[in-house]
Amino acid sequence: MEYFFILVFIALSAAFVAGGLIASRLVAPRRPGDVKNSPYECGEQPIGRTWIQFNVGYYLFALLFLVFDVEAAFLYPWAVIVREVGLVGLIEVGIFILVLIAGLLYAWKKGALEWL
Amino acid sequence: MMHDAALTVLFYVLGAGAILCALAVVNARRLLRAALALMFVLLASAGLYLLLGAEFLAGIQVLVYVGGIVILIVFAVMLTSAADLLEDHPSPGRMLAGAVASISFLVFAGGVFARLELAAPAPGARPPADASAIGRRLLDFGSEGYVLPFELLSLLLLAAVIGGIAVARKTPPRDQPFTSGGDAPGEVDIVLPRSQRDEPEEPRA
Amino acid sequence: MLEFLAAHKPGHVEWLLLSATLFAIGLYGVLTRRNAVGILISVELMLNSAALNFVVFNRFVAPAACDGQITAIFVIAVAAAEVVVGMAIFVALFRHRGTIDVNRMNTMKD
Repeated sequence: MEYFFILVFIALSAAFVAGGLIASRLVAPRRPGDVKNSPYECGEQPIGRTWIQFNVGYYLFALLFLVFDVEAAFLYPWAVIVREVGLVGLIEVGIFILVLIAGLLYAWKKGALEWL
Repeated sequence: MMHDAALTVLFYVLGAGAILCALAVVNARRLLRAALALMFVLLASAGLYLLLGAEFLAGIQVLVYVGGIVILIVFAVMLTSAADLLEDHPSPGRMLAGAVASISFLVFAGGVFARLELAAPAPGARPPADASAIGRRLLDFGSEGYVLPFELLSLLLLAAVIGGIAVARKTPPRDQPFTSGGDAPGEVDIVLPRSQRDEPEEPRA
Repeated sequence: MLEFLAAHKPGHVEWLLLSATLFAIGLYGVLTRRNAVGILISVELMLNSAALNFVVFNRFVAPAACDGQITAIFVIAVAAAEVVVGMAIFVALFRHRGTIDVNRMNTMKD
């Protein structure tokens, strides 16, 4: 039952969002028009469609993020017992991190970290 | 008593949610919706991990799967610009073949599980399988430790970084071999099929 | 009501059936999708259900150990590596061929 309050929290936050959406749908007047339905682009006339080809640079950043996300996930179990495992654990994790730093250096060298 | 009842309710609620979202994953005609439904399946699985007492794993699931892998899938959907294309429903023959294969797997697995006799675990207080227990096993040099898979995983991730960058990156221009992180402005190197282009249809003669 | 719910606590058969159902749905997606990214999304579904299976066996066979959970963590990490490389291949394929429909990818070379 230690998660009871988390459940209550999730239920309350979902109810808050759903309540806001439903209340605005019930109460607010709706008069859609061409201008209102167009996407808001800071007052500019939108050109083309919303679905455009994205720059591949975004993908390279997401790729690096995911790999180092996994690395961080594997560092948590070490972090909670860092004093217990001492130097041996430090060396093991050091090798792990050094190998991944090689990947970061490769990305850096190949220019994947530069924003074009 | 109260605890067991809550466990039952949560199992069926989360399980039904996961199955419904999984059906949406395989049937959604927009891939972006499929990716969103996949996110909800993974979140429901994180909840199921919590029910099984695997708190750390639930955290990893949200951190890596929901926060990383789904994001990468969404980016790939955007990059392959298939997001606005409604995928055709598969042909009836294909749907039939898929349904037969998956349902026969399910029947077979159900038959196996119904006969499965699991040895009852030894009674008594069980130590919490939290992050520190996992860390001890992960960094353990002994015969039951996982230190070698742990180190090999870093090599796998290194290979994934190098492979992913080498494959996804554009071939750089010859005069500047190391500085092409993405598309040069104005560079067009794919010709989209007509149905995906923005330009209006040419007037028919 | 409470007694009924408490008496029907899910055992290992219910848990395993849940993960087998998720696996079967993923299998259906792999067999019916034509878009390569869609197939990879379905493969993620199958990997997730396999990880769930490991945790279920961990809980019902050896609750004192955490081997199943460690294996599930490795499954998640390998899934991450797989998605990184797979999506990179699809992005490159789309750039060269303008499609990621698996029915139209029948050559290894241009």
